[in-house]
Amino acid sequence: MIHRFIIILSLITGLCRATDEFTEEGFRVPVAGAALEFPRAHASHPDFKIEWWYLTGHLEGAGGERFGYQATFFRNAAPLADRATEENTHFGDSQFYMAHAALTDIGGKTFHHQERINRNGWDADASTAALDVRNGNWTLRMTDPATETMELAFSIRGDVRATLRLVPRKPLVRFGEDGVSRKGAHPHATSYYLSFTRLETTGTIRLGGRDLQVTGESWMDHEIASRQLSGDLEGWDWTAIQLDDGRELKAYILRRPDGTADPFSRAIWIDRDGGGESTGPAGFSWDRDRWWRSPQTGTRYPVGPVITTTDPQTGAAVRLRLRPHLDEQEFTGAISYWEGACEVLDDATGRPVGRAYLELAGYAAALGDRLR
Amino acid sequence: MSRPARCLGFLWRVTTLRHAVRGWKHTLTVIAILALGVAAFLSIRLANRAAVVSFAGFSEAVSGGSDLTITAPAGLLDADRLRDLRTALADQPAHLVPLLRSSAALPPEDGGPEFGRGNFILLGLDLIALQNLQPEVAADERFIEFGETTVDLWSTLRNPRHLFVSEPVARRHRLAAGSRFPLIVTDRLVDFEVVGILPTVRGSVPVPENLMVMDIAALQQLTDEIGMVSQVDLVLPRGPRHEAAVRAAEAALAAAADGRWVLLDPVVERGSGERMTAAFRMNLTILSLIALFVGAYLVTQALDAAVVRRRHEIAILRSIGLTTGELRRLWLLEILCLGVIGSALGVVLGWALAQVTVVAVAQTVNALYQSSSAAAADLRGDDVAAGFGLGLAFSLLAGWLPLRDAAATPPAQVLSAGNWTPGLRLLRRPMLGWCLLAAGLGLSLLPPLTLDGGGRFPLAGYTTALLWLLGGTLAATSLFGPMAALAMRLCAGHPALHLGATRLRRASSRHRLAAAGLFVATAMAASMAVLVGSFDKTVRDWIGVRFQADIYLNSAGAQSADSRNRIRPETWRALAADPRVAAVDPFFVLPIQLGGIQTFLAGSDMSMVGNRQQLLWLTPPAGGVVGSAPDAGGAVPAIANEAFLERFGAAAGEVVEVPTPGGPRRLRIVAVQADYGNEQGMLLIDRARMAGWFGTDSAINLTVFLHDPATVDAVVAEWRAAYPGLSIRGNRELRDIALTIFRQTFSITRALEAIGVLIALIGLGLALTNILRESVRELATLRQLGMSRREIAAATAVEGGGIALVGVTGGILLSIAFGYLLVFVINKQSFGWTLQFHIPAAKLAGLVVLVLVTGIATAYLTGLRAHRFLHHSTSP
Repeated sequence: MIHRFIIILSLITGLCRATDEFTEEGFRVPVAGAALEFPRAHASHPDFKIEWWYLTGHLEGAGGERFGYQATFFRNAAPLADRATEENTHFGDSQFYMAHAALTDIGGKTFHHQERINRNGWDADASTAALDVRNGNWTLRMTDPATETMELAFSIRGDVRATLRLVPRKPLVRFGEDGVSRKGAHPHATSYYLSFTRLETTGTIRLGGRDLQVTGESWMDHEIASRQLSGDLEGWDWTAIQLDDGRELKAYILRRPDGTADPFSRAIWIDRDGGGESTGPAGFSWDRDRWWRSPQTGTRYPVGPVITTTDPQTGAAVRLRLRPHLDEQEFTGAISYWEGACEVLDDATGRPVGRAYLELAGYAAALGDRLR
Repeated sequence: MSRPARCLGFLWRVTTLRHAVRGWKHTLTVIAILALGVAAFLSIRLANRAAVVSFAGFSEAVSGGSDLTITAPAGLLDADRLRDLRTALADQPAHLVPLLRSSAALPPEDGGPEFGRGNFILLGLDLIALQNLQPEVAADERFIEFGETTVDLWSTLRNPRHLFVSEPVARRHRLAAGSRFPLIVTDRLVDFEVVGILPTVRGSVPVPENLMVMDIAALQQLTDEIGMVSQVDLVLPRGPRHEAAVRAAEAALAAAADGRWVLLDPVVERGSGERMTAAFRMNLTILSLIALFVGAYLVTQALDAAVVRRRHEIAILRSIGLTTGELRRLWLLEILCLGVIGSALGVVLGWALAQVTVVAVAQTVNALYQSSSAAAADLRGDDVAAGFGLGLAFSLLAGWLPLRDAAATPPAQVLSAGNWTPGLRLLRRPMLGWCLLAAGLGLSLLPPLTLDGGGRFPLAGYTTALLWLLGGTLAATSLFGPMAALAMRLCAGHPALHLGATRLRRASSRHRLAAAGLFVATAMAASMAVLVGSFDKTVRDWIGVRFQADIYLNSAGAQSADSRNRIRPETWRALAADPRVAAVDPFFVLPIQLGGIQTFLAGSDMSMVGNRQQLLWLTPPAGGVVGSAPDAGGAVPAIANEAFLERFGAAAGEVVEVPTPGGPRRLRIVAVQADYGNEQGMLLIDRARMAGWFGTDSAINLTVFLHDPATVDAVVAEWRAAYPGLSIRGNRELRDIALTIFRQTFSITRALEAIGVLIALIGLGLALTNILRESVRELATLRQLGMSRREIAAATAVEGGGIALVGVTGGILLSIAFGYLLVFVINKQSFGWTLQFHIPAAKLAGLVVLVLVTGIATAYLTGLRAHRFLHHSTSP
């Protein structure tokens, strides 16, 4: 019964797969070679257990104000067992929606953040037909499927309100071998990993009662999985770097309890045309150069990593140092982690070469078991 | 020239303190009376507060401070409106917290009270969205924590038997996570599992003791209210722009409402329970103050006794040079000492009494207003201050006359010469008394004071009571003349008795004070008896007319006037389909807001009104039939109860517009009924029409008529076994319960009646002793002239009996006037109920006999022991 339900859902959510595979709980597992049908694939996939739409960006106001922002919409499916045959449409019990929003006011040296938690129903939902996700008054919608233009709106308590328009400047990138990104040795620790690595961003940020027109660039990941990490992993160090030369570098270390990198860690270059080149842990290093201890949670985060890899364009080694605009960019909530706007420096010359968002997860508490 | 304080201190020690220690019984009596008065007031104060504390914003405890409350214009709010609310708020960062309010009650147990045995507010909350409010409150004030995994939370969302209870309830019922806790919800017995204990405080708001929480979807499922919520609390982030944000949200929601929702100010809502019960609680406070006032008479008499006993000592102090001012200071110090000690004891006693009183107050609040399960009353700093303030004020008031009397005592030489009589001249002004009585009568005709939320307070009525008490005190003493004349005629052949009657004719201020004290206490006790008697008679007659059916059913969980426990349509329809049933009348009632004041709209089968269902008409419908079809003007016929007319100033024939989910509807009041079950007003319309308007076919109670009334017991027994969640009662049983509930509402009144009798008897004893002490020289002379102790005792018995007769006669006369005032003015204005005026003759006669016997016996025994007073008064 549950499988039939999931197959129907799969058909309507735009995932046409090679071979069906399911977790022990009955959720679908990403399979290699599955074709994704767009723009429907930007929508929600409730037949998978975990899904998120993750936006980060760097914005500038007309008066020179500089901001970093993060807006993430998470979906986590409730256990399939014991679900009611007829779900309460206003207060559902099949999906759990969490959303995080943060704004780093670089000039003001302040970090605003808020978490929202809701069940599926009247105040939170994600369409399976098109990208239309909402959680309270926070929304992410694809307003023009032809250009894949999106609109994002969020607020942070009474302090911040943001309305942003996001237009892809580079084609969507689908990461992983044969369309599947591996996140650990467990065969189900896989995901469909889709990214818009450069989104032209315009809009308004209201801060301190003042509306500021902003422009900048954003990055959006959409990840669909049923088991995000292998249980033996503690967390990850992740970054999305937008280089000034028009290329991007996504790098992540899937971290074991002893701090070493799992073989499924990756560094992926995206060239100016959107093509990607990936390397495993042997092809790059992630050095935790500087640590910062959160006065709020007491957690130590390696906030100044240095990534060393080979530039596929020149074949030369590059050392990129990430320097946070602000150390205090720890997101505290149901899960506490550090996520912040950084500038990227050529470690050899000390020159700025781009901007990045850095995420350090699993330092406050191990995540392997929580994201199974 | 004023003496040094040290000298006065010495004098205070050798006079006041010495007397206090030597006459310790007397000292303790004064302190006890003061303590009792303060305790009566304080216990009512504490109980009142405890009984309404559960009203204090249950939703506040959830949201930690909502900025707006959104409800349906009437009934429940369709949950589809939630999206509309979010849309209306656009990008405003508001938390919208939907709540579904229901109620639960402990299941009936053998030997347990029938009503108010334990009822709870059962609140359905979105336990997931609640997490969004958690950052606003401290970690130990959170309802539930988002756990390491979501498994437990999901099972709680999906299980309509998972429940969070308050810490006091958990303690009282020995509950912990995992415990089973069976409760009645709607018409079913539900075996709940406790999954957590609520914090005692949340966001600095105390979590009501009787609050229970479960997931809103689970509660909707449990109460068959899928798709409905009771209200939505809107919470905006705190900060410098908070006020502006609230105003913006309010404007946006008001603009988009289009009759679909109404906005309420939570600050106003928070106090609705308090406002609703304000008149009731104020009435109790006034009654307790009357008890204190009567107690003050006693203290006056006791202090007066001290002045009399120490008259010679005072005179000697005057002879050795003490000024009247210094005497006054000495006595003031004594009064203050007594006041402080009495108040301190009164505060402790009041707190102890409140633990008992609170149950009685909570029962009344339950029966008439809202769920209240208060079982304990707390003492705060302001209560202690109020107790001391009141105790000292009343001790000073009570000590004023004796203090004046003591200060006016002449030096010993003058006293010995015998050309001085004690004061209390105020009591020799009966005309002033009659004027006050007349002024009170005029005031009694004034309307009540209207309080916020629709409560009515009979200020003029209570002022009348005060004026009548004061005036009656003065006027009653004019009875001494005719009383003495009659006694002298009757006792003409008995010299000793005649002597007593003669002393009555020359009634001193002290005689008058004694009679006044007795008068006040008797009036209080007797008027309470008249009120209770009138109420009892009225309700008995009403029940006789109203309850004609064979069987009455309601949810066994319907433990309060605002209980949400209903009989589900499938249940009452199944009962109606029983072949032994001739007819059923499902009754449904909903609270509605008219002009910001809560009242009720009810539905009943109008085709049965006037035949099977008898109402006690105050204004009968034309032709005796109400009907259900709208009139030519589109107004639906409705029966109003008396409280509705009183509360809203409406009259028969008028059209009232009431809110419904489909918009406002017009009702014409075609008849008015007497209704002693509701003091907030009620409009009764045809049930089918109401079910159509509100989309619910549930019933609050069900009246059943059988084909064969002889089968009642068998049917009741069978249904009880089949429906354990229902209270099923035969006619006689219901009548008994109804009377019990009504009597509960007067439990405090009866306690005050008993206090009145007690004070009357103690006061009489004290007063007679005073008078005879004051007359000790006269009695000694009579003894010298050859009168035996028994003859002297007979004379004092006549004197005592006369004083008792004056006091009790005046008191009974005033009590009848008071009874009129309570029944036709104070009660009518407070509750909107017209009662039949009934004088409980046997009870009053018993009171008269008790007072007279006590008076005569005390006076006789005092006369017998008069020689001892002589001995004491002449000793150094």
